[in-house]
This record gives sequence, C-alpha cells and structure tokens, in this order.
Amino acid sequence: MKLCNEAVHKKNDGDDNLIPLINVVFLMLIFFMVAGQIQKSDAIKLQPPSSVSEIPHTDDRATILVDMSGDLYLDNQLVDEDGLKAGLDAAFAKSETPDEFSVLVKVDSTLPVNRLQNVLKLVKSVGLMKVSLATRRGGETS
Amino acid sequence: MQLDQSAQRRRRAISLTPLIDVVFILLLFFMLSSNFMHWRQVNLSSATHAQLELDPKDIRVVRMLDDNGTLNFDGVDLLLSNEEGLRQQIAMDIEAVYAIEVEEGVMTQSMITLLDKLKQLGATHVSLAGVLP
Repeated sequence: MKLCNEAVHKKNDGDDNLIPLINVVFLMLIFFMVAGQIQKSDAIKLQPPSSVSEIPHTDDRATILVDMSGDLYLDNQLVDEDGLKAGLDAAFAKSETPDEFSVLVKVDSTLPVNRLQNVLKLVKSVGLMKVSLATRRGGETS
Repeated sequence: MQLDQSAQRRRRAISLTPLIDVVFILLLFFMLSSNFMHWRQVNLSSATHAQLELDPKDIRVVRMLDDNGTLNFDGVDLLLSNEEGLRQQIAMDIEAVYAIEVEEGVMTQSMITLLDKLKQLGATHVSLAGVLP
C-alpha cells in the first residue's frame, strides 16, 4: 500500500525531476546573457592579430575589412578602391564629430603586411590621418 | 475541503515544460549570437604625427626579414626573442622614431608582435614605414 502511494506521488510531481535541469539551463542562460556581447557580425570571418594593446574601439568610425585576396569592404559593403575613397569621404562628411572620426582597419593576422600598407596608403590619400588596426587580446579566439 | 482540492488541482496543472521550451530557445539564441572576443585597436596615426615633428636623423629603421623574428635593427642583426639586445638598442635613443619596415610576405601578426615588443621595451614613437607622409 505504501509503495502504491509513492508511485502516485511520483506521477503527480513528475515535473519535479526537471527542476535540476532548469537550474542548470538558467545558469547557462544567465552566463551567456551577462558574459557575451551581441554585436553585428562582419561580412567576412577574420582572425585579427593578437596584441597587448588595451585601447578599446572608438564609436565614430568607418570600418574597412580586407580579406586574404585583397578585396575591400567598407562598413560590410564590398567596394573597389575608388568606392572606398568615395565611401570614406561620405562617411567623414556625415560624421557629427569630425575631430573624433577615425578609420578602423580589420585584417586577418596572416595577411601580408604589404597588402595592409596598400590600404593604409589609400586611406591616407583621402586625407584621413586617424587610422587604427583592429586587434584582439592575446590568447583570445573568435 | 473542496476549496483545498481545487487549489491543489490548479497547482498541479501548471507544467514546467513550456517554461523549459522558452528558456531553451533563449539559451540557444544567446549561445549562437554571443561573441566573447574583446576587440582592441592599435593606433597607427599618432606615430605619423610624431614623425612630422622630428628631424629625419632621429629615425631608426627596424627591418623585419621573416616571420621567425629575424630583424635588422638599424644595421644590427638581432632576433625578436633577444629582449636584452633589443632593450640595449632602444636605450641608445628612446626618443627616436622607430620605423618598422617588413620584407614582402611577412604576416601582419609578426609586425604587430614587433610593434608591441618595441613599445614594451621603452620605445615611445613607433611607426609603420611605407605609410609615412
């Protein structure tokens, strides 16, 4: 008779077995919500070079991506060299704080430096002197 | 007594399964969309401005020959791993502009490692040659 009672009790509170699962899932949810950052993903996947630099990104900026074949993306739009110059000009003209406006160049860590230098020369030819190279903290991966 | 029974029935009626469904969906969303990489940046422009103010004789060229860290430090052959040698070279003229040049094919990571190392060892002005005015 006692056994029967226990069986009924278990059947009624079947959801109780799920509580430890919910605890774990909630903990994982809170971890991902607090520790992760949701941000717009780049047009191409890059593994930026690691550096000891601790300078965070500035807000007012144009972002240039350079892929391994040398293709250029300005704010996630594929552009050629002339398009890049025109786009940078337009972004600078639209900027509300021209003194703070900077250009952020994102490249893969394995990109040959001469290709990076070509892009930097292009940016300089537009007249923009505030140029930064995106890096990641040492040891981190995307 | 009847009231108690109905209250018990109401408590049992609430199932946790829909809650778990929602929580799982939220968890999947945050797992897939979260990014844990902390982006940082290296400013390439400040050294260029410093370059303009200084006399050309204060430029010391650091040439990176390959990805293994072989350097020609203003005429002296060094390895990037030789911190003491690099520190001695930088101590000779801390205020100079250290212009980094690289051989064709050297990767960006190697150049950034050299740039970091020079700054860590005391060089105040480090510049990328080839993009100077």
